[in-house]
Amino acid sequence: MIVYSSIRHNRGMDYVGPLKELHRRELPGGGWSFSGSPQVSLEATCLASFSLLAEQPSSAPHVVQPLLHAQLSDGSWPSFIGDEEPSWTTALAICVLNSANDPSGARERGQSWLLKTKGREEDWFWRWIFKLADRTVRFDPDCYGWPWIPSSASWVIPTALSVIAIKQFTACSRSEISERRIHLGVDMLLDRVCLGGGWNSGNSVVYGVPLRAHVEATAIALLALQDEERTPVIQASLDWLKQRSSSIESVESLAWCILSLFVYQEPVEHLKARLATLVGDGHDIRNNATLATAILALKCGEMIHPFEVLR
Amino acid sequence: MNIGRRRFVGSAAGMAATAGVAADWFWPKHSVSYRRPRSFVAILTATEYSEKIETLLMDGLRLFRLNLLGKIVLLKPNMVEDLPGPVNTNANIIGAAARCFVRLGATRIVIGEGPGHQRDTELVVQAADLKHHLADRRIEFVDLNRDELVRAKLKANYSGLGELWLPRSVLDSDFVVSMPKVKTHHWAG
Repeated sequence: MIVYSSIRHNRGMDYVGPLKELHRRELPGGGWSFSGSPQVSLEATCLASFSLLAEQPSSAPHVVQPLLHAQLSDGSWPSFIGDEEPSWTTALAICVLNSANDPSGARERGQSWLLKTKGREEDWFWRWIFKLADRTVRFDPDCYGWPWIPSSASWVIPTALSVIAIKQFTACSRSEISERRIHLGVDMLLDRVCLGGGWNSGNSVVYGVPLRAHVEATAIALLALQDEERTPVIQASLDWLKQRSSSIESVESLAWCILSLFVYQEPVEHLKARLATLVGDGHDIRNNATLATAILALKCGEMIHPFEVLR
Repeated sequence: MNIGRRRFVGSAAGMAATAGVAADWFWPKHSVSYRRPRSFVAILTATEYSEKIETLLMDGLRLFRLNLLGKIVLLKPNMVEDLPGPVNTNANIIGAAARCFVRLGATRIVIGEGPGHQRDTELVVQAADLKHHLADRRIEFVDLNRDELVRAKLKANYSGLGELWLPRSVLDSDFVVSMPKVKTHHWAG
């Protein structure tokens, strides 16, 4: 139970209204749907859980319960309750359990699944197809990461979140296989970077045409690379995101920009002010995942960053 | 003729395998044809995306004598990227279609889309300049990537999947209108 009257906050970046709204939308059985339905979405639930944990760390046992119940027998998490298929939300769920310092063993099982899950290009058959036959996309199939769902190719956002989850969970003690997968994931991200910086959703060049970077993919990829050496590629991507953030009017993208730029110690107060105006009291933000991400962004600097990786 | 036991078992297994493959080949994967005997098509000419398109669209829709009174209509445009250019279905067409269906008696118009690569659908809607077409309270936008999913049994099993998780907004609608953007760039071949 969160006591709102006890919350100290910056009036200029008022997140109490949005936080109340998010709390009001919690489903009776725990967890959050995307918008208005009774179907628990793991993405929305994880992001909302971060927001509640940031506000009241002592609420961890209550906050993680829906996640613990949703874990599949193989250690993964599905996209939504009712689905039996593992998904990319496994990385997000591990990050939440990292924030809650959950002792149940769910993280170990989740990480074990993550370490076994690979983008399709890891398979020798697909690797050779991409090397010899399918030249319409340009990437190095030796650098693979994580897919949205098993048996599909590596994509930027699932790879970045998986790298963050493993980096966080193994910060104190890292096995050889964890180290190897982190390096491979980082290499995959660096291989897929767009010309001029930033990331599209997957590849950077298709049919010889360079693809443009996407805000959310770039912000999350940069979060995964926050403790890596600041190479020209990372710097160019950071510059691209900074430049792009100045004109974004979408809540979700702007929130991810703030979360990412903050860990690179870039000024974000002006972006937070714009986000606070866009969000208002949160009533008009129908998507709970977006609302929760916005709350996290508005609280940047006043909480332990949920995607921070200790160096 | 004297056939050894081993040869008999081998032959029987071979025949069973052949029959299995053949059965899979010939056995129909669907029991009902949903193709209508006759389709109605109207081709209308417009020289530009403008306000005039609504009148043209209304005239075209009236040719079909649709009974949409009290119905929920789902418009499914192509909204791919947060680019203002021609990659997306033009917002004037989407807005005009929505208003036409309201005029034809539909109670609710749902514009539903879930971009395949761009996760921030709001960014795509903004770039497509669709927002001002959503002013009418009977017209709303639904992000199909974040809609509630319902397990639906397939009527014909060409895919072999048997069932699919489909967005509730699609299943709850009475009338679905596909509004593709015809691709003319080199990626389309």
